[in-house]
Order: sequence, then structure tokens, then C-alpha cells
Amino acid sequence: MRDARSFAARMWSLIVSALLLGSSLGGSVSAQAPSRGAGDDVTLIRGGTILTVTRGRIENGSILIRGGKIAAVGRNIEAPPGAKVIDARGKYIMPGIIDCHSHIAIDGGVNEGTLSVTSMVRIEDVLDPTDINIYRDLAGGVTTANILHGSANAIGGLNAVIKLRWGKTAREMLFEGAMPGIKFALGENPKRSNFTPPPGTPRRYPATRLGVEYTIREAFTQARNYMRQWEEYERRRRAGENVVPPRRDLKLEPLVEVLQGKRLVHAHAYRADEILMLIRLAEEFGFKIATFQHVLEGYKVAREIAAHGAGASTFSDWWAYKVEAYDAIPYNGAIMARKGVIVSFNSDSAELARRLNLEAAKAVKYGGLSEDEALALITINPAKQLRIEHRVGSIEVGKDADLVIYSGHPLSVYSIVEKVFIDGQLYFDREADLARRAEIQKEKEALKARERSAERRPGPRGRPPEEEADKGAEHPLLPGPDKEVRP
Amino acid sequence: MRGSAHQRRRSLHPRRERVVGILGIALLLGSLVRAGFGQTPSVYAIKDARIVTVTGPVIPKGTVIFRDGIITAVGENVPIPPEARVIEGSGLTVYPGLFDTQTDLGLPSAPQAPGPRPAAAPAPPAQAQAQQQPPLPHTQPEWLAARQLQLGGQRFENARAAGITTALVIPPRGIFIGQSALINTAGETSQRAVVKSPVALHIGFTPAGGGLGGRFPGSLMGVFAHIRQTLLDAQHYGQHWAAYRRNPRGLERPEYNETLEALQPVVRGELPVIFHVNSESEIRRAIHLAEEFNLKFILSGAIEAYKAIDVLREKRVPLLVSVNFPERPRDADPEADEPLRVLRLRAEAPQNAARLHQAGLKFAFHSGGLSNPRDYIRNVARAVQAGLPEEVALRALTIHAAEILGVAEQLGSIEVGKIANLIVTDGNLFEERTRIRYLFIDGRQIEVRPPEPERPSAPSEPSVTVAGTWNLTVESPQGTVAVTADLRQEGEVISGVVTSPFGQSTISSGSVSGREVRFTLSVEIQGTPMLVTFAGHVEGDRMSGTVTVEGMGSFPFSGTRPRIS
Amino acid sequence: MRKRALLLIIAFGLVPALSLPSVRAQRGETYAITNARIVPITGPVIERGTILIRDGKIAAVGRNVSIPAGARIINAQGMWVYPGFIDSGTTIGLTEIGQVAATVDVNEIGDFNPQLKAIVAVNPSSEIIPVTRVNGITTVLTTPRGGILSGQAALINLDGWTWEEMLVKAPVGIYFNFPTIASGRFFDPETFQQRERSFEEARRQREERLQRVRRLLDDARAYAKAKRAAEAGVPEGNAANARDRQPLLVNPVLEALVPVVEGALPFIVAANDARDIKAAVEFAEEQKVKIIISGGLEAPKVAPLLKEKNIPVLLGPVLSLPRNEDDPYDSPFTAAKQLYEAGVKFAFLTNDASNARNLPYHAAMAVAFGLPREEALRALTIYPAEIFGVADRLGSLEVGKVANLVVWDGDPLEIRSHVRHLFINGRPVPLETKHTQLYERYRNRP
Repeated sequence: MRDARSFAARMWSLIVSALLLGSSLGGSVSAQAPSRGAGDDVTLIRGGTILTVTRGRIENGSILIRGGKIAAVGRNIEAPPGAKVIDARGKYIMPGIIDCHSHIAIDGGVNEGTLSVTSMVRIEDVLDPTDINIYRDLAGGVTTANILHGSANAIGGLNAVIKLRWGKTAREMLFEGAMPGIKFALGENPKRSNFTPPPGTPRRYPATRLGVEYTIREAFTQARNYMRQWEEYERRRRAGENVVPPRRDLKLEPLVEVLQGKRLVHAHAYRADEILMLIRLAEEFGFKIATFQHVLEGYKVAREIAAHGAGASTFSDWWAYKVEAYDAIPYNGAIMARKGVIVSFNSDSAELARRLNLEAAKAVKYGGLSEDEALALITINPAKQLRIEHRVGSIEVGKDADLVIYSGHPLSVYSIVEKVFIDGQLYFDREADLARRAEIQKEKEALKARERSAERRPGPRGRPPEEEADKGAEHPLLPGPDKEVRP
Repeated sequence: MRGSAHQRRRSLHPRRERVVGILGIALLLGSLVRAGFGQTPSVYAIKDARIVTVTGPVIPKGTVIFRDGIITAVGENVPIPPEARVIEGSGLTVYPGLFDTQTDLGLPSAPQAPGPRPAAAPAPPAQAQAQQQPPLPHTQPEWLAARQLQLGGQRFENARAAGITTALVIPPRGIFIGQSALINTAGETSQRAVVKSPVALHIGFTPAGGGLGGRFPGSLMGVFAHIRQTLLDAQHYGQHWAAYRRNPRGLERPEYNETLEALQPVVRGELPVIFHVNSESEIRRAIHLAEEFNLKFILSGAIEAYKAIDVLREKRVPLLVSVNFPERPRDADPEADEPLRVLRLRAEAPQNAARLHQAGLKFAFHSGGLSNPRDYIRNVARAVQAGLPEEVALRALTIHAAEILGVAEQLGSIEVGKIANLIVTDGNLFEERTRIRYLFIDGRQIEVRPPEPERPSAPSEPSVTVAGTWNLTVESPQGTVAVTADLRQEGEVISGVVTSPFGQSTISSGSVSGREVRFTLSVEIQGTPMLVTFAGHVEGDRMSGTVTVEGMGSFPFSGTRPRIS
Repeated sequence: MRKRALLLIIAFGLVPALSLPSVRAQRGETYAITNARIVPITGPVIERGTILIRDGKIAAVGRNVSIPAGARIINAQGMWVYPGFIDSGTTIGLTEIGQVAATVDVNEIGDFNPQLKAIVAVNPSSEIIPVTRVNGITTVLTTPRGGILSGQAALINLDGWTWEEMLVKAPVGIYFNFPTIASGRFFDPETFQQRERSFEEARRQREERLQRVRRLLDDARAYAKAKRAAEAGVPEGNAANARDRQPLLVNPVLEALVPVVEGALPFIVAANDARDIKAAVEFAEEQKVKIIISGGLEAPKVAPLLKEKNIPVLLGPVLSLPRNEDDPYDSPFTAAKQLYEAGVKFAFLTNDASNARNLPYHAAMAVAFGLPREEALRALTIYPAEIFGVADRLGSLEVGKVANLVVWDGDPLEIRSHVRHLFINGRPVPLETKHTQLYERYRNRP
């Protein structure tokens, strides 16, 4: 029944499918899947300058990695048999960079901007492990990122802390055991002052900073009421009464967790007065703000921020893009640090995240932080802010082997990232990346050529020219509305 | 819509049925029905055909017998009842009718009026302009496809011409899209065509298009939150009502909520959920969500299922696999640098089914929104070329679909006792030249239009205007019948009203392409609705063509549209 | 310590307010920067030398320079002196707070505005000006950006009481947003809908826009001829009818294009896609106009063509993401090296205002990914000066050039370096900015 031609076509398809099956494992494009195999469990990085961040610098040092953890750090470490050895002479090794404010890898919108309180939405539900910016940020030394909801709402959604394990599934990227968090936003963004709604759309409350305060206050009041409802239910149930539990409210439950100290608040804020406002509000309700994000006027109220115990995660030198950013100064980080605030530098941008080491250098330029203090801004400090410092943020025995090898000192503009390890596995290797570029182009050309010739052929594969076929552009899996036209 | 081929169509029946005029048979039928005599007995025998039973070995030369819609015998030497209408099957192959396990066939394309009650909405925002907005279309779990169903028209004809006798109908997008119905693609009435309803609750992940300032949920994560909260509310509702029924004393009375009521079988794990998902991420997310609520579930679409075989195998998820393979968009920038990820997907997509089969996963097929049902079969043939064994492809079009959708006792194979949904072809189903000669649904023979000729169809001229009042006469052997057609036209879509001695009927679907016009309506004759299709050719103010009465035959008609100056 | 005190006294004595331009230098004020490592750019590094500044110009550069009496001496021991850097693409002076329309003058209404002049709207009081110059950028090209032909770009020094004092040269070119072929889905801000544009439609649209430019240039050519004829007057003996002697009715829009069609003024063509750059080059050939490419992130793909036609590129911003998903992750970083290797002349730009101060770090990233450091420095100094036709005045430390120079305590491309002294037009410029003031104020908050 099948003729020779279709048989050949079928064989060809099988061969190609076998090849593609092999090459598409993990779904990654430009990165290799991390190497796996016996003996790969142990790696020795030897002979480089180790910047531990918390324990000073080790010249001509080595790091032994075993089972994904840092097993040893020091000057003279023997390579165990079977260990993979990486020669790091002339190189610098520092802890993997932690970006405390990122919006990469999010599918279907960074903001649920239709309501002012959206604590029921979760970034975890919509992580996109195929976002190429994961790879690009990894190539800039970022190993952990705090993926946040946007700043459209006074109370936004729940965050996801991830490790940039390029090639894995979304769930596999989640940072196991990281304390959960939630995003708040104050100032111009949640009150929509820089944005005209589309015709026919009503304005959304709140439109003032007064309303922003009230929105948060009201939400926490509701959360407290919710807690009381449940406590009441429990009491009556234990007393044997015929009761039904209250309806679970996914919007209020995260706020209850905040009140109970089980969920970290990351609050986007700019102006000094609104920073104080949230501190007062939080203290009134009995919880602590984990970090202020951006916090560009933090330097004006650094004392109060330190007294409250909030961390500050800010830019190095962005300013003047909004009114509330007009008083921003690049000395912000240094002033806050000197007043006892735990400060981190973040990116809020897939592009900036590739060079957070250079952003850290700006804290030396503007404000005179020391080398270790500057490096801390992108390693141990954000780790503390995210409560993951027991796992990452410095090169110490027992911590995760999340490491970056630089060609030179990371605070120098001339240094580039050569290798990045996460959990002891090599997730980025510049040499391998360079070698793969030609292969990628070849594969693309081959696939395109096959497609074109298949289109020209008549028959079940080829199509009659005017046939009423679905336009590929409508297809659910092809680049959808998020694909922007570049101006 | 292509131009009508009615003028060129030749009859496919070996013998033409008794030709009677509309008036005659309608009256006769009507009177018979009224008198309670029941329908004309219908027994068919397809003899000496190759029979592909699907669940048993292929019978190279055998006979299938079915009576009143049920298969009564299948085999090599089967006695044929004397009253049977015999169909000569030598050189022909009999297959079970094919399934399309996800299509919006028969459903109105415009969004439906909102349901009576909004779903339990999230708590109103602080100081909101708390407008209780009507719910958006396809966000209501209580929406039933079976209630919206309308049989007839070009789409059904095309589906049948491709061999599709059973379809799971549901709109493709939405959040709580609604409850699907499994229908046969023909029936005396829309209600009669329903095989099973509801089949499942369908859940999609289409945001309401909110953006900044629109309707919730405007983002994908909002959709997840909404689904989760609604399912929690449904669980709570069930709990509350159960407690109340056990002992209402002292308990606050739960309110009746249609939406949450409709979700009870879902949260109890009785009514399965079908998730509309295609990418690997979407597939994994849906599985995770389903596990959160312990739902019984099926995944539909699953174009990238081959990337998630690990979890699909582990959880043994049944799959309804779309064969609407992504294609290179024709009007896209030829120099655009498409990512390798996209190129690979297009190359690999046809191999999806083969890989699922190799991994031991069970799946059925659906058309995935392909507008031409012949492309559906063609793409299944491509999946076969890409490595899926042909028998497995056939099973995915028949028995696996029936099993996954819970109708394996009635459909999906040629076995005694099952419904007689059969297609009789003149060759291998997956070959391009093969045509369907006979089609039976519920044991009734359905006319199959020859499929559209494969050639460019663009009419060289814009479509004629057919709006206006037409005075038509239908020539039946019993005499002429006068009919008035009041047509409205919007672009290529025709609507309007047809008046005849049987009363007035609204046109359910109609189109014009070039000079060919076609419109379908349901005429109630003595209480029995009959589907009537006019297919005509228009020249100026003259129209002529053929009118077909479902299951009866075709008769010429002609007429004019008087000019009113 | 004493040096520092001296400097502080000079600084405080001279500067009352943050954002005001530098104190007016007395004519004839002479400065000598001594003991410095001098990087002239166009010549070898002078390990230990002196620069003499007089009357706004560089009077002497060298190992042994005699210092006239009365000169103010700045001992730059341990420091480096570089020419002021030039940012070849900014909106400095035309914008203050991005989201506040009242402060933004970058995009005018209308597609064809070649007659608009950026220079007349430059705000010398912009806080962005001091913030930028204290990181060593003394001169910037500032351009309008709206429509297709946006207006006339101006080269300005970042110091002056009025825009006239800031002006180095204007017009330097006419900014031309080359129409791109934008197909695919896009968000239409007018209807707030997602819409789709087919490639054919997008291509037609682009052609249509180019056609309008062509017609405008045709008109400009005709106008130019008429203008030259009117200037030349009717030749003697030519029995011209009085009626033929038409006075030229001035058309400012066409007037602005006359130097372009006569080849004296280039279009500064904003284009990043390789296809657009190529089309722009072809367009320029066809229309016989000069162009400079601005942006040019995909210029390496058409480098041979650019080299052949001698078309320079204002490259950047280097610190941006790759344009396509499969592009190498470092493709914007390596663009400069690739242009250099292909022999294409280029300068760096930030296309920014508030953070144009980071210009050196764009250049530094290009060095990190393969561009020789000397080339990077040239692309910040002498190359833009040459491209803009001001190399006689700017771009290097040579006698006779304008004294735009910067004293650094380290490598200017390294982030951790600081500017210690700044001279623009031969006048010392205070290093105080809005930022330093806020810093001082709030670090001292009790």
C-alpha cells in the first residue's frame, strides 16, 4: 500500500527524529545540558584567587566540590581520584551572583494589573524555563534570582526564588526551601500616575499615595479578620458545635503568612516618606519588611530602615526616569550600608543582570565601599535578604557549590565570566558556548532548507497553493502576542 | 466558503431512493408519525467488503449488518436478512466512523450571552467601583455545549466527507470553557445527535485580556489563581452542603450557586477535567494543578507532549493529541531569524504521536482547530509517515478516543452491539486519493458530498449580492412548491428567513462565494424538523439550483428577485 | 592634604550652586597640569608631563613645558590626563524626567521635521549635564528623535551659561529614523489592541515611507538649484525677461535639506537591523547623500559594504541584549571588535541622557570582548571628532585644540576610577552635582 517513496520518507523521518530526540533533551538551545556521570560528582577548581566574600581572599586557592556542595576551600587541596580538575590559574572565583529583583522567565505577563491587591497570584505558576534571558543572565554570573511580580499593584503577587538551572523544567529551577515572599509596591506605579488607561476603561483605585496606604491597611485588616474567623471556627469546632470552616481565601492567606512572619515582604518604594509609611504600617500590624526594592531615597531615611531591620535592594545608578527617582543618587547604597542597612544591588532588567559585578564596582566608586563590601552587595547580602544565606552567598564549606570563574577580578571592567557552576554542575562554559555557535547555525540552516523543500513538494506534505490552511501565526505554540515588533 | 458544487454533483447512491416531492413524503411521514407507527424499519448489510474492526483482526472479505442503528452481525459468512438494503462492498473497506476529540463544530462562534449568575468572584477590591460585571464568555463551568448545539451546514458536511462521525464539541479557548458534549455529526435533530453530555469540564488558560485596567484575570498567573480559588470554593461549597444536609440545625444555610454546583462532580473526581494545553510548560503546569485538587483529568492539545514523556508516563495521563502541527507562517518576514527552538518544534511536531506510542502512552487524535477536516486526516497520515504505526493511528482515531471519553461500549470499533457509525471507503483511509463512498451514522445513511477538488479556489470576481426577497419554485415530482426567501447578506455570510407552505423558518447557516450561494434551514413538517439546504447559482436577479432535504433527496429550484425601483 | 585643601578652596570659592555652569573664566586664565601621565590619543603616552591651558585652548603638551608666571598649577602626580570623551548619541538637554512630558522635548509631532534644531531647546540648567561631565564626558551629540526626519543634531560641550556657549557645532547632521519593516504582532497604542501586520503589508509601508523621503529630497534638490541660481543672479547679457527673475521664496523645510542634497551635511541614520542598514546605504547611494549610521548593532553583518562606502557607525548602546534569540549572548559586546577588524570607523554612543555618564563602560565592555583598548579610546575621542568634522578642535590633547580634558585617578574605563579635575573650553569645571550635594547632605544627617 505504501510506495517506496513514502517508505523512504518514513525512514528518513525516523533517523532525523532519533537525532532530534537526542539533541532536544532538556529543551535548551545554546547551552549544553550539564555533564552527568560517575566521577562528575567531584570537581576541583585549582589555583585561582578565591574571593570568599565572608572570609577574605585566598591567593592561589582551590575549591573542592562534592555532591553539589563546597567540600573544601583552601590553598593546598589534593584532587581525589576521579575528580574533574579545572585549572583556574590567573582566574578569580567568587560566589554565584544573587539578583534580588528580576522579571525573567515569566509567562503571560509580569503584572496582574487588573486589581490593586493580587496576593493570590503566584509567579511559581507561570515560570518559563525556555526564556533565553535565563541563559544570558547565567552567562553574566547570576546563579540565583528572586523572580518578582511587577509593580502595578499596591499588593502584588507571590514571588519565586529560582536557581538559573538552564535546561531544567520550571519546578526543577525552584530554590528548594527558600522562604516564600510577596511583592508590594508604593508610589507612582501602583497609583498609575504615569499611565493613561485605554478608552472606556475606568480608573482603578487608588490614585494617590494616601490610597496606597489604605489599600494595604485594608488588606491586612481583612487578613486579621480572616485569622479571627478561623480561630473562631476552631474554637467552636473543638467545643463540638456543628460548624463548617470558613471559605478559604487565597488572597488573604499570604497576608496571614506575612503577619505570622512566614512570608517575606519585598516592597518596591522610592520616596522617603512612603518608605517610612510602610515601616510604620508594618510595625503597627506587627510584621517586618524583609526588603525595600529600588528604595532610591533610602539614603534619606537610612537610619529608620536600619532600625526597622529591613534590607534594601537597589540600583547602582539609575535616576531621573520618574519624578520619584529624581533625587536618586549613586551613593545611595553606600550611605545605607554605612548606616547599618543590609544592602544589595539588583538588576530589575535582564540586560543589567549580566553585569551585576560591575554594578557592585560602582559602590566602590560612589561611596568608597571596600572590595568585600562591594562584592557582598551581590552575594551574601541578597542571600541574607532572601533568607538563603545558609545555602548560598559566599564560598564556605557546606554551602552550595554556586560559583563563578572570572578571567580577572570581578570588579574590573575587563573581566569576563568563563564558567558558572550551580550545585556543582557546570551550567555555563564560555568555551563550549563559542564552540557551539557554528553548530547552531548549521542546524538552523538544515531545518530551514528541509522546510522549504517540503513546501515545494506536492502531496500530503506539500500544499496546494491556495489551500485553506490555518495560518501558522494563529498557532498556539508559535511566538504569540508577547513577541514584540522591534521598532 | 467555496462555491457550491451542486450542479456538478452526481448521486452516490447505487439506486436512487423513491423520489417524492417534499410535500408528499413530508405529509406521509408526518401522518405516520402522528399515527404512532414508528419509523420505517432500516436494516443494512454491507457485503463482501474488507472490514477493519479495529479491536479484532481485519476481515478481508466479510459482511456487516446493522439494524435500527445497532450492529447486529460482523463476520466472513453472515446471513443477510431478506429485508436488508444491501450495499455491494467488494473493493471497498469498512472502518468505524472516526472521532475528532476536540472541535467547536456545531457551536455558535460568537460569544454566548453570559450565564445567569457570575461565579464566586474574588473579594471585591478595596473601594472598587464595585461593578458586578457580567461574566466573560467561556469562564463559566456550568455552560453546556449540548444546549448550544446546532447541526447542519457546510462544516458538518466537510467533517463527514473526511470520515468524522463523532466529535467532542467545545470551544477551544477560555478558562472554565464549559462542559463538552460528544455528538454524532448527523442526526434527525441536534438533540438526537448527542451521544454523551457532559463528557468533561474543559479548562483553558486564556487570560481575559485584562492588561492594565481590564478584566480579571489579565495575566496567566491570574488565570491560575482564579482556577484555584474557584475549585477551592467548589470544595467548600460541597463541604458546606454536605454538612447542612447531614444536620442543618444551627448551621448557616449555604446559598445555591449554579457555578459551584456544576463543579461538584469535578471536585469529587467524578467528572473528568480536560485541560487545553500544548507546550511542555503548559502540560507540566496542568498536571501540577490537577494533582493539587486530586482531579481526574485528560490533556488535550499536547503538541509538545513528547518533551514531557517522563511525567506523562509516571502519571499515566490520557491524551487527546492535536495534529494541527505548527507551520511556518506564510505572511511572515522571510528574513526573520526564527529561533532554533521554533524550527525544531516544527520539524519534530509530526513525530509527537510516534514517540508517545513508543513510550507506551495512550492517546487519541483531534483536529486542533484545523479548518479543513481533510487536513485532519492528512496530518494523521503525516504522523504515520513520521513513524507512528498505521494501526495505532487508526486506534487513536477510533477506539482509544472512545475509551478515553468513556463511550467504548457504544463506539470506536465494529463490534456487535455497538452503534452503527461506519465509513465505507474505496481505499486505505490514509491515502490521499481515497474517497468515502458511504457513510452511516446511528445506522442511517448520510449523503456524502465529494470532497472539494484540490485546486485554487479564489473566485475571480467578488461575490454577488443576494440580499433581497426571492420568489422561488421547487420542482418536486408531486408538483411545484412556492417558496419565498428573504435574504440578508453581510460580506459572504447569508442570513434571513424562508417562507413556505410549512411556515417560516430562520436560516441557520448560509454563505455566498462568487456566484454560488448556499443556505440551510430547518423546516418543521408536522412536528418533525427536517434539514433543508438550498444550493444555487446566481446571475443578476435569477437564481437556480438544487434543494436537498436531509435523507430524502434533491430537487431543482429556480426563481427571481423582483426589482423594486 | 594641602593640595586637597587648595582644590577645595578653589572649588568652593568658584561654585555657588550645583547645576550652574562653571564660573566664567577670566580671559587669559592659564592653567598648568603637571606631573601627570598624559594620554593624547593621537600620539604616544607621555609618562610624566605637563599640559598648559591658555585662553581656552591647549597651549602646550609635553615632558618639558615651561610654565608661565601667574598660571594656576595643578599637581597631577599619580594621575592620568585624557581628552574629554564624546558621546555620539544622546538626548542631553532635551529631557529631564522621562515620564514627565513637560520635561521631554525629544519627539515632535510629524514625520518630516528636518528644520527643527535640537540646539535651541537644550536646557543648560539640566541636572543631567553636571552628572554626565563629572564622569569624564565633556562633549555630546544631542539629537531629536521623533518621526522619520527628526531634526538637526547638535554637538555641545557640557558647560556654558547659554546654549550658544555650549555649542560646538550645529547642525552636525539630520537625524533620520530609517523606516524598518515591522511585521508580526504588535500593540497598537491608538486602539489599545493587539494587531497583526503581515510582512507584505509591512514591506509596503516601509516602501511608502521611503518614497515620501525620496519626494522630499527631490523637492529639496529642485529648491537647491533655484536657491543657487537666485544667489548667482542672472548672468549679464542674458536677455532675461523681468518676469523670469523670480525671487526665491524661502521654504525652511527644504532649506534645511539643501546641505544634505548638496552633500555637505549627512543624515544620521538610526538603524540597527542589518537589512535596514543595507537598505539605508543603498538609499544613500541612490539619492547621492552622505550618511552616518547610528545604533548599528548589526552593522558587523554588513561591514564590508560600510567599509567600501566609507560609512562610519555611531555604535551602541553596547550594553544591550542581543537582538535575536539565537544570537550569541555577547553579540552587542563584540560588535565593536568586528567593525574594527573590518576596517569600519566607529564611535560609541549611549543613546541616553540620565546615564550617559556610563559611556566609558560601554566602551570598556567592548574591550573586555576583544576590542583593543587604544581603539576604544579613539572611538571615544578622535574618531567621533573626525566623523563630526571637528577634529581640528577636539578629540585629542594637541596644541591648538580646545582644552576639553579630564584628570583621572585611574583608568577611565575602569569603574572604580574618579575624575579629579575637569576642564571644558579651558575652564575648570566644578565636580559638584545634584548627586554630590545630596550625598553630602544626607551622609551628615544625624
